[in-house]
Amino acid sequence: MKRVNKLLALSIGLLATPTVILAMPIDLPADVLQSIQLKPIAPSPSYPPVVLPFTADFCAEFPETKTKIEVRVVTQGNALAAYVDKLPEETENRRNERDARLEEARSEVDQLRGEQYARLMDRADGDDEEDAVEDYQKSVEDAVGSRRSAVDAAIVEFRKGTDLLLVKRRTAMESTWGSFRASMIAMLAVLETGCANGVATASLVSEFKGSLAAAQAKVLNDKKMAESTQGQMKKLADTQRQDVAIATKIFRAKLTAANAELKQAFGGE
Amino acid sequence: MAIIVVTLLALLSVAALALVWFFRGRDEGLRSAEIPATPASVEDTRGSEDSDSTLEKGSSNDSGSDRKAVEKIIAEIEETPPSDESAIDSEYTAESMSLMEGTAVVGQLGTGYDETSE
Repeated sequence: MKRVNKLLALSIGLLATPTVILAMPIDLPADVLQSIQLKPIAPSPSYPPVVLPFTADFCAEFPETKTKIEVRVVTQGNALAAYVDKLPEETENRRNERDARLEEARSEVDQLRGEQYARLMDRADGDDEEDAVEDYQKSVEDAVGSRRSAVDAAIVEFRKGTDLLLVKRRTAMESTWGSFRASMIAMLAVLETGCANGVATASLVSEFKGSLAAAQAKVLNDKKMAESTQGQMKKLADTQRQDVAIATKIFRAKLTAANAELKQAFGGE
Repeated sequence: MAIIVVTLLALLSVAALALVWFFRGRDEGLRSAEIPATPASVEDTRGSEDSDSTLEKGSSNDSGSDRKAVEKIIAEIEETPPSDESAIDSEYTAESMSLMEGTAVVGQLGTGYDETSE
């Protein structure tokens, strides 16, 4: 009885321990709590904003403001130039990666088909059936080859078309940048002259806002141009998709014919 | 005294025999309950191609079964995806993304001028 009581007490102890632990107040040091607090993720702009003194000190602080704006314009221009410069190489690299992935996928399917041909040959009984399997393999491989050539041609065509669009896009981006930069330089010149001539701050601020809005409109227009380019790219893709669909349909028809012949050779209907 | 010793020895012998019988029986039971060397699931994952035909090639009686196996392999070949049917989709997605990256860079041009500090 004593032994039973001991076992009972042990069981109750084991069952109760997690509950007691969970019920205990968590008393962690403040610095630990601090370290595990979730911090709000704030949107991080690529560049910190240039704070403009829209006050009576506008002209007094203008040289500093001008430098900040110039630095901003140059930094953004450099980012754009870097993107444009690396675009051909990036495009080429990405295309090579896609080619490699496609090649790998094709290679896997080729291997699988090779195994399937071997299994068919195992089933062949006599010269006639073996010849039939060989003919079948040739027919299927021809069909696969034709389809792949069509797909490759479609990719090449799409890339050619895309290259032309990208050249246009590059020109448009550079033009937008040039135009934006010119607007900002002109705006700074107007503000500088205004300050030198004692123009009221309100007028200068108004001038600044108007010029900036005009420059921003050009940038927005570029976005519309990019969307239009994307639309043209989609049309290119649709055309090539149709070509691939036709090639796939022809492939399916050839495969069906080859299948029927092989089935017949193996005593099918 | 001798009778007692003999009786005890006899009882011990019976007990030993009983123990041997008991353990042998238990081993047999365990052995029969062991997992078979080739689990049913592995058999299931194997293609049923073999079960549809005799393994021996050239027998005149297995032509019908072989035809079924061949038809199954043909169906497999037919069902294997061409692997390049979505190549243009991949092309469009990637090139389009690249285009939009450029747009995002241009979109930065007009930003970052704080107009709220009046």
